Amino acid sequence: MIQSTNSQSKDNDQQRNQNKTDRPQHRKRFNSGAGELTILDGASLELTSGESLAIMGPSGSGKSTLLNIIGTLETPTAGEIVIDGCNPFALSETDLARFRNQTIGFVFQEHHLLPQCSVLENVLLPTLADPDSPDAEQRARELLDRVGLADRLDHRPAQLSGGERQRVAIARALVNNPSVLLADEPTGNLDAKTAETIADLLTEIHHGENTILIVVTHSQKLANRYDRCVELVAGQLESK
Amino acid sequence: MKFATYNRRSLAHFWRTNLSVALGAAVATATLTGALVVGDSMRASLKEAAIGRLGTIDDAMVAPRMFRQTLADDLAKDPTVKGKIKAIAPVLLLKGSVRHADSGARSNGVSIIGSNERFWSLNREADPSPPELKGRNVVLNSALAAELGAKVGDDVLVQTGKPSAISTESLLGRRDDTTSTLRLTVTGILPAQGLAAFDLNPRQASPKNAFVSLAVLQRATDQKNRVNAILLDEEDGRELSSESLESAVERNLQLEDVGLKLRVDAKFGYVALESDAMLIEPAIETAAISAAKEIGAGTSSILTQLANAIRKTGGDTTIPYSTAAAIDPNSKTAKSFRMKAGKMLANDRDILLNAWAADDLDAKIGDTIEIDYYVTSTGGKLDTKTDSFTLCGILQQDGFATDPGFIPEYKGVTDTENLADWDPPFPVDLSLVRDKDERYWDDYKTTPKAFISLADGQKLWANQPERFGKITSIRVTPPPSEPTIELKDLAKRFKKTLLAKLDPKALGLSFDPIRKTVIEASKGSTDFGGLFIGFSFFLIASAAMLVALLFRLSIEQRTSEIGLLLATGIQPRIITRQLIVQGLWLSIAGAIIGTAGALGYAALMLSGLRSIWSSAVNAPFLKMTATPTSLAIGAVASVMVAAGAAALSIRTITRHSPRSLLAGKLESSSSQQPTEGGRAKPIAIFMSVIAMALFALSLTTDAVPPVIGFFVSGFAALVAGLAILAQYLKTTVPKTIRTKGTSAMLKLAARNAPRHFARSVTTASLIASAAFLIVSLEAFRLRADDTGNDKRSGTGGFELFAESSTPLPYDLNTNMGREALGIEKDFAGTTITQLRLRPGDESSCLNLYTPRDPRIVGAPPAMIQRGGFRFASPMQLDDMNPNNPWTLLKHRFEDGAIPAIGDEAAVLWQLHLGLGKDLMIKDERGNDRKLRFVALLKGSALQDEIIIAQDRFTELFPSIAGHAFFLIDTDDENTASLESTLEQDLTNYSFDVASMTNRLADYNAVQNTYLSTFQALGGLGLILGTAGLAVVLLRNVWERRRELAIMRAIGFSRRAIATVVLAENIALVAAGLGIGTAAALVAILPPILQNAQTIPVASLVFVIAAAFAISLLAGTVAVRQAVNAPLVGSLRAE
Repeated sequence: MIQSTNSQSKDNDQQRNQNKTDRPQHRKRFNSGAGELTILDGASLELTSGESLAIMGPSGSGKSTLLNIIGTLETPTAGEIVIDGCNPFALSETDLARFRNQTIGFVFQEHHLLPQCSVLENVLLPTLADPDSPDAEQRARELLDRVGLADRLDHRPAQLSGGERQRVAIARALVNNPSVLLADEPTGNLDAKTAETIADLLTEIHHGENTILIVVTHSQKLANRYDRCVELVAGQLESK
Repeated sequence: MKFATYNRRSLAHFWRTNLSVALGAAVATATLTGALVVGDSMRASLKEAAIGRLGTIDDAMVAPRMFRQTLADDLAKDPTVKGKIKAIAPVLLLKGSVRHADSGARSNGVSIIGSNERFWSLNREADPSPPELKGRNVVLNSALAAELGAKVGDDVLVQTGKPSAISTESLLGRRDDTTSTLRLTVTGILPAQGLAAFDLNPRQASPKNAFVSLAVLQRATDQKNRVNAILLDEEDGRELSSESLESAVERNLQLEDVGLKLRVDAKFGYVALESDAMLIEPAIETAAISAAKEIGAGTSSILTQLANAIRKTGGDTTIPYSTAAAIDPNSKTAKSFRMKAGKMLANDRDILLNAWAADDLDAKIGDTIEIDYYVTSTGGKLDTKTDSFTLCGILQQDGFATDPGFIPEYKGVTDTENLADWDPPFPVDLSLVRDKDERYWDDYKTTPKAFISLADGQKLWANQPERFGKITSIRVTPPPSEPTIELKDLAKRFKKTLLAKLDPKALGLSFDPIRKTVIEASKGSTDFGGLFIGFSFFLIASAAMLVALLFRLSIEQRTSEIGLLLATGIQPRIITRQLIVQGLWLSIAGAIIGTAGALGYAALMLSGLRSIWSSAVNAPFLKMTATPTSLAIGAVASVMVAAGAAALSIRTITRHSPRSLLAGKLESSSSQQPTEGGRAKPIAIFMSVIAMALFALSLTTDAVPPVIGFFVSGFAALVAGLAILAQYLKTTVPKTIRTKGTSAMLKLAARNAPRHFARSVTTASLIASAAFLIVSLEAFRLRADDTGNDKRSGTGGFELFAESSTPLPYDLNTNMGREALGIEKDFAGTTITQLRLRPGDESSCLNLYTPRDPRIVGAPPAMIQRGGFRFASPMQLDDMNPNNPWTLLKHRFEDGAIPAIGDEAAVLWQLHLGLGKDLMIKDERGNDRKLRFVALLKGSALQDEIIIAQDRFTELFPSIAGHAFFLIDTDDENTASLESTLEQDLTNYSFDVASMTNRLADYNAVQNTYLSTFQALGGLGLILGTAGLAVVLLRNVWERRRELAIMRAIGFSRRAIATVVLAENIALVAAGLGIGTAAALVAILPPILQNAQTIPVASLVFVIAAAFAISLLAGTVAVRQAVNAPLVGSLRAE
């Protein structure tokens, strides 16, 4: 379960549940050098395992920032995240990294595959943090099989098409069995047909892995595939 | 997947950028290891050259006295030596000059080696040996032959000093016969290798040797069957200890070896111990009296004097040229006299005359008797002194009073048939000799006519008793317990006891393990490895900065990868560690490539030292030698430097947010905006204050040591300048560009520098450091502005200096001295300061070997009084004349240390000592003595000499008489004429005159050459800095390719684009050069102004301009890239 709440009410579940949609709690400010910018202002939501959510909104509305905060890549100026009962921002840097490694999987618009590594090695990349995971390679092979790249294990990213690369990125995101799968415009750089395939794959894997899936997208068509859809407007989440 | 796989894949995939990093590391390795290899090569070459000149010689005894040639045979048979040596050779080693008989070409400072086949048996098999040396033949080595232009068959004149046991500064010293000339025919010329280049004093220059038959040289120098050196070759693996050799010398020592002889006088019943030196050395006197006491024998010490005249005060008669003796009134000798009248010597100034003299003078008891005699002073000057005595007794003209043995044998006096045949080394007027005097000579020979007490005699006649001795003989008489002992047996017993008491070492007869000593000296006075690491420091630092820059750039290419690793939950420190591991592998790869490069670098440096930098080392024999240890140390150290630099460069990279890293950005948007400047401002203020304070203090006071002042103020100014640049780049708020054309382009360029603030500051730092180094070194270059006219200059106001192989026994400043030396020229306006010289190792920076036993000169009081030269730092002693630190030489230290003055460079860098430190030396009698540096000369032409006061010199080296080192102050503008007059007239003494200014210039050339070396390597550092700048500019252009494409798309010309890129380059170069030059000026101005030196503006401008031109090369590469980038492709990237 993932909860994103106001820090003032973190000890009060009831209040937190009430606040999850109608009380904006997350706040993220940036110092732009030309003055302070508030990107998120009271964004709040709660999701449970197997649930999927699409976040939409215009460019610069803070979609990716929210996703990065949920993914613990950025720290909110105010507010908190609770994933599986844990507030990752209360963890030490080391524990936070371990938490992120074990709990969260990322799929980026740019696949960010390492050009020097093979397909299989790219999928195994998150397992570097835990060298004692003996089944990692088996899991990676299975995931690559599920994304249809079982015969491309030794290929390098440069030898793959854009869609294939994104499939590798999806497999990489899932290799550590994360509770939360975050996808930031996963089809943004793909043609329509390939985007459709990737969307299918994400949905299928999400169901198969029983993760929480949060997708940031501009595509209404893609957003429609998920259980819920919210729009980020003026720093606040509004259900669509 | 393991991290090892990830690292391997990363290293392989990004091979291009990684290769550049590895090459940067290779440069660091090549430089660092190459420096160590230069050190190895220098040591090995010096050792090889020095060892080669020893042939197979392991030990050498070179004595300050002549001893029996057969001592070598005796030693060979000694039980502790026998079987442990392969060969042993007695040799006569002299210094002199050789002149070509036809051409007149002359070579001074030649080793004249009297040798036979035993010497050549010490040659290594591969080295050339000469044909048999016999008769009037001479073999030259090629170094000498080349200088003379001599070939086989030519005649040469070999001139050398004549060793003499009698000091030329004593009355009987033969000042007019101190040299010997041989006309010999060259029968062979040997290449200067092996024993042909024989030299016990390691030095770079090839020694000039002339080999003469031992017997011929012995005859020519009146040293038949005598030598002054024994060389030996130990049997391999049967090492002989110095103690074994010393004990062997002790066992085989004969009285002749120390110039002593025992004369048995059967007629008068005594055994007399006499010395070839006429006077018996104090140590021998003590040993002899002790030996006599030990065997129960009686002793009588005697001091004889040649009396020019004996007369009665008020009398008419004068007895010319007699001997007088000083005896102990209580000795057996005195008691053996029979008195004719009066009584034995009892009071001060009593005198006894023999009956013959008393009759001749008509002297009665109580009369005053006067004795005229010569006393000598330095420079061969003779004064006549008269002493008055009271006649207390008249001796019967018989028995002991007729013993001629009071005076030791002296050729030309004691052995003449007639008094008129005397040939003493002092002027005698033989016309004064009467017939009766001749008859006395016929009857009594050298029998003294007058006797005074030993106490009076030693007080009046003994000249420098501590130096030469105060008795002429010791008579040993049979022990009272054995009155009938055969004198021969007494002599034998006394001799044995005396020899056991003599310490050969204290008499200069000791072996030096010369091979080991030379090997030790070959380690060099300067650690060239360390020196070249120092010289290469900037290059190494530049290479490290380049590694850091390139590695950082290569990692910056992979920012999204790092972002991804962070996003997947890999801890930042683990990511950093993996990147460092990659840096480490690149450093290792660089070290492997660089080790090969090191050999090339070392070969280049050695080639430079043999050619363009040869003034610094003068060692054409340098060969490259690389030891595995140096290669390993260099490689490991370079890996540490390069990997450390790489690690430092990326230490903060994982502190960026994963989001910005994923987006390929390292700096947040805010960093591209003007800020408060962070730490730059306080650093700039703090460092500026330090630099200015030190600058002001250094200019106005002596409180700041020059080295500290230079480095700290220079460093502070450099950092302050760079911090100001950083502050400017960080805080300047750009104004809207409202101008057009080139001006607008330049303003646009100025906007770009702050965009990659760290890169800009790093490249400016590289250039600034190089500029600092090059500019400050140029200013430190020594210029030969010291002339002989300026007393306070490095020449001390002396135009010329000279050295003679044989010390001059006469004073060059007196008419009498010049006349005696055969010099006709009048030296009006010329003053020659004459110093005593104890030859030794050169301590100047021209000598690469460690000076083991430096040359020491004794300065006369006049030189101390005169003052002159520049001083770095005298000791603050109470009795110092603040205007003349030379007076410190007269200081008496309570611990017995002897004050000494040396050149600062020689003392600090060659002897590794300093002000107030002690140089340990052995005096002539084998005692350890301390020379304490009380003042250091600054930039002087006296780097090769350690100077002490003359009286202390004679205390240390009593046997060295005359002067062999000269400083010449002349008003004569035609110094060349003076030079040639002196050299020609004093050719017998191998007198060699040279210019002080040139000598100083030779020394300066060493420092200047080192500076050139340093500068050249600094220049290479600048090239590396330029390479770094080029990489940074290329990277900037590549990152801005879209922006530049847009500029072109909207109508900017290629020229305008080029202007923007080039201006950015010029701005960085100018900032770097400006900061470096300003910092250098802050560092160097105080010492330059304090020493009243001039700033070499022209050469500085040239150096800065050259550095600017080199740096601009970097810009052209970037400009080419910028203007040639494909427009459409770049726009698509947008």
